[in-house]
Amino acid sequence: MSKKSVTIIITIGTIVLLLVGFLSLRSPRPIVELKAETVFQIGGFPIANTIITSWIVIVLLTAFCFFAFRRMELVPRGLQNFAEMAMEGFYNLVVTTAGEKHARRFFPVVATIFFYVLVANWLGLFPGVATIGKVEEMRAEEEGGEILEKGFVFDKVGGMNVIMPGVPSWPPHEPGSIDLKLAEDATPAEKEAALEEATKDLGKDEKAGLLVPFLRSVNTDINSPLALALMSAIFVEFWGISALGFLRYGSKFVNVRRLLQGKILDGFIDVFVGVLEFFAEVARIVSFTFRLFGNILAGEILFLVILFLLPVIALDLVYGMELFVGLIQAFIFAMLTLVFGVVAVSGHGDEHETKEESPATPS
Amino acid sequence: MDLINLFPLLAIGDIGMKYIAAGFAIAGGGLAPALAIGMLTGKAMEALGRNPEAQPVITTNMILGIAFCEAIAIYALVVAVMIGFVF
Amino acid sequence: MGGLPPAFRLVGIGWYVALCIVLGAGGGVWLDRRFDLDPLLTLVGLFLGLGLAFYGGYLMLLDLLSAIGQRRRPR
Repeated sequence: MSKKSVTIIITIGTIVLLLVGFLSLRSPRPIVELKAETVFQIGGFPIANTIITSWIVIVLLTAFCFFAFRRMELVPRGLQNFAEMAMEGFYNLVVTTAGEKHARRFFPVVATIFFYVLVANWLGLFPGVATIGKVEEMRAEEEGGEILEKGFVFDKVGGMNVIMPGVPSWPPHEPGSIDLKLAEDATPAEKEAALEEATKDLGKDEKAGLLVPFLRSVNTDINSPLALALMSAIFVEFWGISALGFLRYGSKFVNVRRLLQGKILDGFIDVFVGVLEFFAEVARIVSFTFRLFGNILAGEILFLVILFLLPVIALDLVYGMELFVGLIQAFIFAMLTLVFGVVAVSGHGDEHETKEESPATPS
Repeated sequence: MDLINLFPLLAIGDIGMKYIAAGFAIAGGGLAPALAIGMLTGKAMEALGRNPEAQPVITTNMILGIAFCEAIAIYALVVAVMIGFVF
Repeated sequence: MGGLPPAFRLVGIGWYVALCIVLGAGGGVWLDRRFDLDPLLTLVGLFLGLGLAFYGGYLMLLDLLSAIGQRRRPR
């Protein structure tokens, strides 16, 4: 095949795919739900869909370790080979950043964070996550209930109720959505009337409401990155205290040595710097949380919007970017924990000593 | 003489202001981190050109620096999403 | 699927995973519609589909990796 005919075939194929996607595969207008929706309750405790996904991540990681290290052989093959490759690669990375002496202390927590966040991010890209769920129907406002102002009609495609479809029609219009035109201060009775009006001619298998997915990417719920950030902060403090001792590590925050020696001005500057260090720790927790949460949530929003606008071609590009972002965010979370651990362990006044074992020498 | 005919922008109302605010939040908050990441990557390229053997160290530290810069953009994004969808 | 180049086999694995999950979940939804057990069968179908997808994908991926390893070895 000549180069020119291949180019023509690729161009025509792309245009056909774009048209097919735009006309018949679009999804309803995206609704972004910041809070993770609860799927069911165990005795009053709400179980959200991100919790279910995190259970799946845990089961996957545990099963992988169980099957990989069941029969340890001296020359590894198969799954054990792959696991050892991954561990050793990451351990070398930790050694180049933290130095030979402290790498063993840091490695378990940092590797756990890395692999957990990596598998969690990549699991959120599987088909079925955030798209398959149940429809929570719109309710009138009673005590505690609320009317959702936008809902979708999930209708039949070929005898089977495909969840999150686009309504194929010509000319292409917004796939089946219901807009309740409510005034700002409508009474519950008016809301109920508007709801009745809008949903009175639904088909037999059509439901109107909001989609509650059964599975949702773990880090789109802000509690998960918050938990990880808190854990990493607590471990950094723990490493600092266990390496330097409580008093010496605490003198980073409460630095009254020069004040007690009598130099008033220097002393007060040191106390102030100590307080700033403390606030820097707290700000670090917030920054870790929002970095991971924001990146993954932005990916989800981008997916929803691209599904609505231009399904087939642009979605592949966004998918590739999301794979990359998932990997990078896991790497960054682990590496930042490691770097702050190294800073905590090496202590405050060590800069005056000779740097014999400088940790970040190029390998 | 209706005021609304003189100044059509008054018809924006509360919902309109909400979306304008969301737009400004992400626009302003995406500008500075983009500049910062660009400068950081440029300096990393310079360092790489001077000393290509130190590539793993340079790349690792560059990615760390980019993560810090990008976090600011993510703060702005979260604020914009909250204004647009939650309030 | 024995001797195809690795790129095509990866596309095959991807299609297998996606089809498993879609058929599992879609079948669950359809059965739900018939027997009115909403949403129990959907969940069962979804998890069955996910499990089959992971398991089959893992076997095919191991196969592919060993095939790539054999290609590189000098004959």
